[in-house]
Amino acid sequence: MLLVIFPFLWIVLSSLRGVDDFFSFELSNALPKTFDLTSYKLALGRSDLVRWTANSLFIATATTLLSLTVAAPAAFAIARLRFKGRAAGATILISSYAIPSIMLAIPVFVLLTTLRLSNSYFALIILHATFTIPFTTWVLQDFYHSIPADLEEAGYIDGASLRQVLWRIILPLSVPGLLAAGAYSFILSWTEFLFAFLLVQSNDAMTAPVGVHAFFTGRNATESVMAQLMAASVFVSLPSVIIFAYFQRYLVSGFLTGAVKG
Amino acid sequence: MSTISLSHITKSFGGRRKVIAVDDVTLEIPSDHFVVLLGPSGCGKSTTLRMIAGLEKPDRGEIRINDKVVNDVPPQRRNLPFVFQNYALYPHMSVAKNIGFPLKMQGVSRTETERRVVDVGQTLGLGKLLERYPAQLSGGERQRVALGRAIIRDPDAFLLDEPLSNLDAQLRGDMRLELAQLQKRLRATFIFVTHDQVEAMTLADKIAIMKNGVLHQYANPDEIYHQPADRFVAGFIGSPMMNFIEGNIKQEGANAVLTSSGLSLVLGPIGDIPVSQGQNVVLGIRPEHFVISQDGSNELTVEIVETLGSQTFVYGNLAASQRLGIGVDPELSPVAGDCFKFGINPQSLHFFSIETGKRITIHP
Repeated sequence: MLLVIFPFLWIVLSSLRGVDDFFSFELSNALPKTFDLTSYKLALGRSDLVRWTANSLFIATATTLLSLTVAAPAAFAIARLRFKGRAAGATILISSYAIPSIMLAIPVFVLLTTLRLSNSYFALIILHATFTIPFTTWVLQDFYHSIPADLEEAGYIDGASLRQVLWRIILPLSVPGLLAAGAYSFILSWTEFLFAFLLVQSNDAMTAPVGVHAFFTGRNATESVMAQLMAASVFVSLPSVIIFAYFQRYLVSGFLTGAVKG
Repeated sequence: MSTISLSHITKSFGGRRKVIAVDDVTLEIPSDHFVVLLGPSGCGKSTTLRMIAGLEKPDRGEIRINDKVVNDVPPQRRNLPFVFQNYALYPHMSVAKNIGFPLKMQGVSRTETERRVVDVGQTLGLGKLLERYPAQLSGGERQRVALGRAIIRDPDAFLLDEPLSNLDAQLRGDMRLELAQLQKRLRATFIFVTHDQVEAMTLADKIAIMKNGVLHQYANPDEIYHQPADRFVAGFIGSPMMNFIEGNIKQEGANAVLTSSGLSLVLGPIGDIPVSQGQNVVLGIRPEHFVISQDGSNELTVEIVETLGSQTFVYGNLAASQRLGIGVDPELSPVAGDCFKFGINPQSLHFFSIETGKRITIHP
């Protein structure tokens, strides 16, 4: 637990120390006596942190919506419907998530540059969706397995079509699963660095992790710069931390549902 | 009014290792009858019901509703409500919305739906629970909601898949009576699946008994009890189970005697039984059909006593490996070690073929 929390705690505490005593950090003196927000003011004032965060927010939200729109019906089909190629499709989908992103980085870069789509939000949303869709599909199909098939059949018996069963019965019951899958998707997109770094060079289109990286790369590691880096890191982590904290119970239940029904 | 008929219906599951769930079943379900599909787990009774509902498609054979083949008609268009074993209530909808859901799907107006929901709620004693959610209801109340969702459609036939099996014994008894009353009141066809012979015998106009996908007998409860078509039906219906004794028929004077290794059971006048001298048969006799009498020609030493209140059953060994259960008057208060003399009424004997297990009804 300490191992997991310590780096983040260290970043938070460092960001709240004054810019001048960044390197005088000692464990015995870990908690800052006063909360000094100078690092945050400097980081926000001198960089486009707000802009990059807004970009990330837009891309992660769009990726999440796109993922859920595709994954929710796909996962239902895999979990419940019987059709030719269902098992093969499910395997391919999950396998695609297992391929390391770095293997795809160069071909994707060439492809999107040729299509003149580099430096665009659209390209990043599509790219992020390529790994969030398989993941959310997997989470959701596990969730659908936990909804008794009788409910769906009761819908057909009561006169509902497949579309009505999905809309009126399955969807309302899937809200916890959709929230869990959406939160995963958002966090995956928010924290993604490699593709965003390769594809986006323009300062205006940068995502938060890439922006922070670009802003601090090549600068002297002075006390002030390091403190600003810590402040910027905390700032860009906040949305995903908030999302995680808020949706935590759904994330846990999403995992457990899958585990139990396996 | 709905007549439902199944003609040579077969259904199997699985790919390479095919399991035949329903094997060439033919059934005629007359209008307004309470028909029970009865059998042990895995006998194909639920699959048969699901095929009638349209939730499964038969591999072979025809399903007809009012003489119209419905094999390819989806469940939405069969107008056959189905009450599931676990009720399958929509957990995110209130009782009123659950009951009104089929009407909503039919496009019935909101005011009409509300009126009919209130009517059905009153009929089933759910008036005060209409705004509650399924999680806030007891098992019996959920069962009523599931029935309400079926009744509101005013259909000609109802399909019920073990609807009482999740209830405790007391409630099950109450609901059984309510179901019987409901069917009489609605004058509708009920097709009811159960593995509980008491439910079947008390509710049914006709019982279809199945095992391993095969229909063994389709008849009224009286006939099933008194003239079981084969050894499986004879053993499945009746509690305690029918005694089966395998042996050879011999004639001693005017009497027929069943003999087996170390065993000799006097059955009565040979002219009263449907088997002949020298024939090897399985004799079936229900525990409640023995006649305890000092003049009895047979004798049983009691080893175990089962007291059920209104009835008492004693068990002992007739021969080395032949256990026999006999019903006795509870006032006799039998204890282990008692010896009972008993006779047999030839009219209550059942004879089955050793090879096929089928009932032997006439002299061969």
